[in-house]
Amino acid sequence: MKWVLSLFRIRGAPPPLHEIPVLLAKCVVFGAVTGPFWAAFFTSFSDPASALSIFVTPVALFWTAVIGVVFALSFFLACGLGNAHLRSILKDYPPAIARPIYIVYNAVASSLACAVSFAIVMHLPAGIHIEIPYFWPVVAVDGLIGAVLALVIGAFMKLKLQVEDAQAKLRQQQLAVHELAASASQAQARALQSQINPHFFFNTLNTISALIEEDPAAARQTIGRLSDLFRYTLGCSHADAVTLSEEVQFVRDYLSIEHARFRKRLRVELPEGILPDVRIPGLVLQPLVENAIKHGIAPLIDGGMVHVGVQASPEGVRVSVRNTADESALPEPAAMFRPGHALDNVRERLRLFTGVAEPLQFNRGVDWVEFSFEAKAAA
Amino acid sequence: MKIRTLLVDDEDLARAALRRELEPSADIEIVDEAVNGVEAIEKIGELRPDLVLLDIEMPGFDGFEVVQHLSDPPVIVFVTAYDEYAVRAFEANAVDYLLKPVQPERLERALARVRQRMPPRETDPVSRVKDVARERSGPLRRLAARRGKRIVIVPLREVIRVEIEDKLVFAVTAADRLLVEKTIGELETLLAPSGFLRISRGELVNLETIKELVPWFSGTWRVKLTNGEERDVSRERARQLREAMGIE
Repeated sequence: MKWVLSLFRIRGAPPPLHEIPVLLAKCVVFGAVTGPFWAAFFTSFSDPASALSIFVTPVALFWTAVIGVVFALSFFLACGLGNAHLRSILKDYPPAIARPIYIVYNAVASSLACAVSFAIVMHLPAGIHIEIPYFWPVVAVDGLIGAVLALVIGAFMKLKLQVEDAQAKLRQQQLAVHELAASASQAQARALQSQINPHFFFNTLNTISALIEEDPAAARQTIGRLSDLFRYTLGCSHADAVTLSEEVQFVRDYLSIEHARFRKRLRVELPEGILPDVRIPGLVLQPLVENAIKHGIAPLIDGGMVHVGVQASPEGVRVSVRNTADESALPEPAAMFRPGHALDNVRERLRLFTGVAEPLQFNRGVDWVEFSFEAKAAA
Repeated sequence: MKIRTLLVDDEDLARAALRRELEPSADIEIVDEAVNGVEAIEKIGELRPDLVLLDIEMPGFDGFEVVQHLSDPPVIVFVTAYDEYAVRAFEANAVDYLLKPVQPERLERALARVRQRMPPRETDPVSRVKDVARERSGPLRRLAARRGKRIVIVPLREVIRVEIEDKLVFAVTAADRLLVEKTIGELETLLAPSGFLRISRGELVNLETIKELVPWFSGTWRVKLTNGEERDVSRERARQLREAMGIE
């Protein structure tokens, strides 16, 4: 059964050369086996009484088989192989052009195959009388059938392509969702690792160590703040978003520790009063402030100012971190965002949170730089 | 004889802690403190200490840049809170370093090593300190120069050339001419990685500021600089200059 079906398979590409003899042989067998049945079928219209006699007359059986072979071969060559080649030629054309060509081709090919077969059959050294009463009308009807088949098969193929397309899209979407989830959890893992910066941690321990004798109360206070910072960062790795007020409070704790180190060299302006109710990913503001101190304030002999601003914007609020900076010491923007760096991490998490491609804006003036991002108001 | 020591750290607390840790050591005399890289260069030149406890992350010049600027460095012990690269470099080069918060027994061990090296001499450890500093901070980006009594930081890309006048070395910028307390030979080595080339016995130019190269008499060349000046290139230096500029 399978090898018979292989004859009728709709091929997207012409069969390779080495398969053609096999296919032709199959055609011969198929035609020979089915020929007598076709003959009986058609004879039954004109001469119902003698239709079945074909099967008991060896000569009739032989010739009807031969006729079957002729038809099978000519249709296989004209329609089967022809369509396979046509398909490979037309596969890059739009359906509006390809479809009419298929229909016309199949109408012509099947009527041609029919006419040629009839002609061959009529000129067989007949041991059997063959009468073809309506030669041209039959050829025409055959052409019509070819055209209709082409139409039906074309529609079927289109449907099949659409289904395949939809399946591919679905697979891609599933893959994308998977990747997104993976990168989100990766970013979170990185956040956990990098938020309490080792530099900051060791510097703070150093500060506490120095304070223990000089100012025990301040040492205790600094330890308390460091614990708060740790609690916040550990908590944040699980929660997706925090309120702006929580993050600003975290920054305040962080800055009070840095202040013990930098003293007068670090001047700070934080937003005061009640902040708008917006949510941001946890631990995006503090790394920006830490970055401002490390690369902006620390290299300056006289220190400078870090300003955290919250301004109303069309979408919600714009949160900005601006700091004094020595222009000659600024790294290139590409270096600022090198993978694994805190800024890259912040940008990645803002991107995942907002879906915006470039969520972190960078601005600079003569002696300042600023990073800012949008936070949408809670719906 | 006491070891005259300079403490360099930008954090008051860190200096106070270090001072306290050093108190029990009777042979250490803290002569002064410096709060940034510029002050460190100034005070090392002025006070000639035997030992400098030098923080790395500092404003102005960092610890490595400070070392690169010293022509006759005293014994240096780096002090750092956390700098994995630096620590690796120190370990590889056996340069002494302390990690903050400084532990008394670790400090004592470092001081023992320092005592062995006294009086400071131009031996391996010292030149290794310079190697580490150079390796760690890459080409210099800024130069310490003198304006009157003060040391100022000059970004190297603003320096057009360096010249000798009456045995004094000056860095010439578009607006200024600053005294540099180094020999032209020292500067040639120090500034070569930053794109400076010696064009004659008494002069270095910043290659970035060369606008034009004109063949001059008997194998010499003349360069036109961005500030409009024209300087002569000696025959011996012309080939190096053409190579540096990618001209055959």
